[in-house]
Amino acid sequence: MTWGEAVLDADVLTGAVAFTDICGFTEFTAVRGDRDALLLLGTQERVVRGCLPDGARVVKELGDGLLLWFPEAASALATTMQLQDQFESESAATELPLWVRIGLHWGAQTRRGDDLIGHDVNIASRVADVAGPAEVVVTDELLRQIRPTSALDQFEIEELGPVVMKGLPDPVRLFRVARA
Amino acid sequence: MSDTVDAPGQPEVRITAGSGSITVMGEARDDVVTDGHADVHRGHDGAIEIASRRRSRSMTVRCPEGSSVMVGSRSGSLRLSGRLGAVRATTMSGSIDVEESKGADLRAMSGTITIGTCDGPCRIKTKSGSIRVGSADSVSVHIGSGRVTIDHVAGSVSVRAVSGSVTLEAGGGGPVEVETMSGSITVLLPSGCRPDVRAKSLSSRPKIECERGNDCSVAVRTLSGGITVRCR
Repeated sequence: MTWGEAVLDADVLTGAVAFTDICGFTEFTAVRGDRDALLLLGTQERVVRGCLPDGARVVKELGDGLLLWFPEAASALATTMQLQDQFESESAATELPLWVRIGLHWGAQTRRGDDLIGHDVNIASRVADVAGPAEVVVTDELLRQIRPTSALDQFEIEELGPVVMKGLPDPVRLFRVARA
Repeated sequence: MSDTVDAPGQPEVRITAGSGSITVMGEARDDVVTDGHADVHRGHDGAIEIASRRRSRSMTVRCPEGSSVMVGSRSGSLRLSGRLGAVRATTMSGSIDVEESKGADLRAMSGTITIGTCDGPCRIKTKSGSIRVGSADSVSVHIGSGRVTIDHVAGSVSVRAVSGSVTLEAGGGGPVEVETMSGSITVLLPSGCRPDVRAKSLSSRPKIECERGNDCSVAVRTLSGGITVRCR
């Protein structure tokens, strides 16, 4: 084994990556000001930290978005659906439009310090771009990890078709997940 | 030159395209025909898979009326004409125009989205562009920036717009929920409808030109923009 191979073996993870993004955060900040923007971010962070299962983590903050990592696909899907439920509850109860879109993908990630990088991380990021507020959109690879179990029974899965995304050479089959 | 696959009934058709314009036509026929610039085969799940051979080539697909169609495109206009089943279309940039479908999920990163008649739920998302719905059973819309116009919706309506005006005419058969960050909201209801209205604008006083009641629920909210709820 070469030195390079040893490093790669040690640093490659397999898991689910979720990207969250608050829709309209720039406009919200322009209209309501920095203080309310901080409140919105703080609300998102509080909800996320309260929902993450054991083993999952916030990899990093990306402005108004988050990169999350989960060791299991089923738990990643259940958690992101729960996040959307709670974001919607917060939006309804307050004047904070916590319109969050979430993209979720299963694959390999390479660790770089506390960060994760790699093609599958990029796919998850692009999937989030396709989602609308309050939506969870996932790849077929993520669903394939869950399909042998009954964990999908509680959800309605609707195919969006082959989706061509920026920077990705091939289309990816995406699915919209909703509560059954 | 064309490629043809027998497809009686109402098949599922999955199309992957590059940057050329795509035309899909629902017609009285029992096969799926492309204009020869695509690879066509049946997928493992029985769907007819069509992929354009060249990234920037325009393509026309003719399929039976009622076919369910999924289209993914990088850029270029998507036009789906005739009577189709459920339509799901995404494009990174380019317009999407659907004449008639039984349910729709239409998404563009940037581009105008138009649907004539949607006999079912209609879900639309674009980051920038305009959205126009002729008539639909129910509508769910998200737009980053641009105008939303819904000529008639019988059932529920949900619109979230970051910036841009929203004008819709609802039949009162379901709840109406419209939120914008900046942009005016106009909701028109049938004559004699007495809605339960919850309206809030942080920049101006909402105009509610209806007698209040419990015929249908209307919730409209904007951080910056005018609100008008009017019964015809």
